[in-house]
Amino acid sequence: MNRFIVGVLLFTSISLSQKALANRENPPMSVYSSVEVDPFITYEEIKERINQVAAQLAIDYESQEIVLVMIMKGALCLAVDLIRAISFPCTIEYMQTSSYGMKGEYRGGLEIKGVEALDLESKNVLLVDDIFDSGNTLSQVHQALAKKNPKSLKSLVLVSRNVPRDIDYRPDYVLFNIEEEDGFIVGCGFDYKEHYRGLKDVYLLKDLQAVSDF
Amino acid sequence: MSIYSALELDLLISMDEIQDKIAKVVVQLETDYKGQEIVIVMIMKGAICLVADLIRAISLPCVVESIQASSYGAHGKTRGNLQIKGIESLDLFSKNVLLVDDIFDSGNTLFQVHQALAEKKPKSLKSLVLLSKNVSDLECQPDYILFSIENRFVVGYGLDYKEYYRGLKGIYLFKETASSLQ
Repeated sequence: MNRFIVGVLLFTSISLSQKALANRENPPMSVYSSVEVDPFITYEEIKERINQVAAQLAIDYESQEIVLVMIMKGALCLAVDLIRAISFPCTIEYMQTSSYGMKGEYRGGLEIKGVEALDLESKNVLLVDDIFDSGNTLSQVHQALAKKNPKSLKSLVLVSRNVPRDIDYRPDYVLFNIEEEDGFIVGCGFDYKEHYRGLKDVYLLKDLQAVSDF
Repeated sequence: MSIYSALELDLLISMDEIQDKIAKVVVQLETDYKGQEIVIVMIMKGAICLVADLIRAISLPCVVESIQASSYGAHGKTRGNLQIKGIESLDLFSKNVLLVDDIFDSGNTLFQVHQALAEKKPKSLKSLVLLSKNVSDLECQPDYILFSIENRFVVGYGLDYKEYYRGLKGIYLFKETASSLQ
């Protein structure tokens, strides 16, 4: 069960896909084909870590109620599996973030939506996101949530990877540390142009161009 | 969830039954949308568990979007106004849209959201619900219904009571008692 068929979008031409990559726009998707890729982290491993972390949360929070705030949409599958593994009272809220400004490798501005409506006053808040990499999203969302005067504020991520040394912020719970510096992550909430979120396993695609050219 | 008194909850539909039914509906979707991409529009927050499991079971290329619907106005079971948020930013033009909600009772939410989504000119627009209570007097029905249940209050698998119980793996009949969560 280590090898799964991963659906891959077939673009109409190389030039189109390169343009789409450069612009980070949705490519024209006309055909759907398959290619075999080995999972980098299997769903079994993810579930096991979720159960371990859920047990740790019960200890750390002494089974006091928490509010889980998930960052849409990458944290959807993680958050849903997490609330089903947590054995103490837990409610769930969500918010959205989107980067804007410079294209490509941005540390640009972050638009945070949906925080205004949250009532986190005096609550134990656990922020849940898919990845901690640049540190930008999580630290900024953390600051925004801190203004809501929660009783406590911690964070949990599925994956931590390539964190710059000049970033002080660290998530409190990390399910997986990815040492590999290269490759594009898809599956278990991670998307490539909105696709692949629904893959149960996590895949590390070494050659993004290969995916878009299939 | 052991911390919640089990006395208040009676299992109605188990996790295994839900997963079996999802597998079946996925086969149906893969037939109905064969070779096509779909955009799943989930209504927050009741549909989160269903959508998380659905997208992991389906082998069609699919994109997930979310919207919010909240009733306002008079309390109780009114056909009040519905505030729908998050539709403006959706690009559904010429897409196969599958609207996913937790429960179909009066049908009011789904009907109004359906109308709002139709204005985005999707290629097709269908709806899927976890539960139907079969009490709606609307002529339109969801295209896919996972379970039909009697008209009782249920929690779990995304459905809440005052925000609690969404994380229960199965669907439970809920009896409100004096010892219910404050």
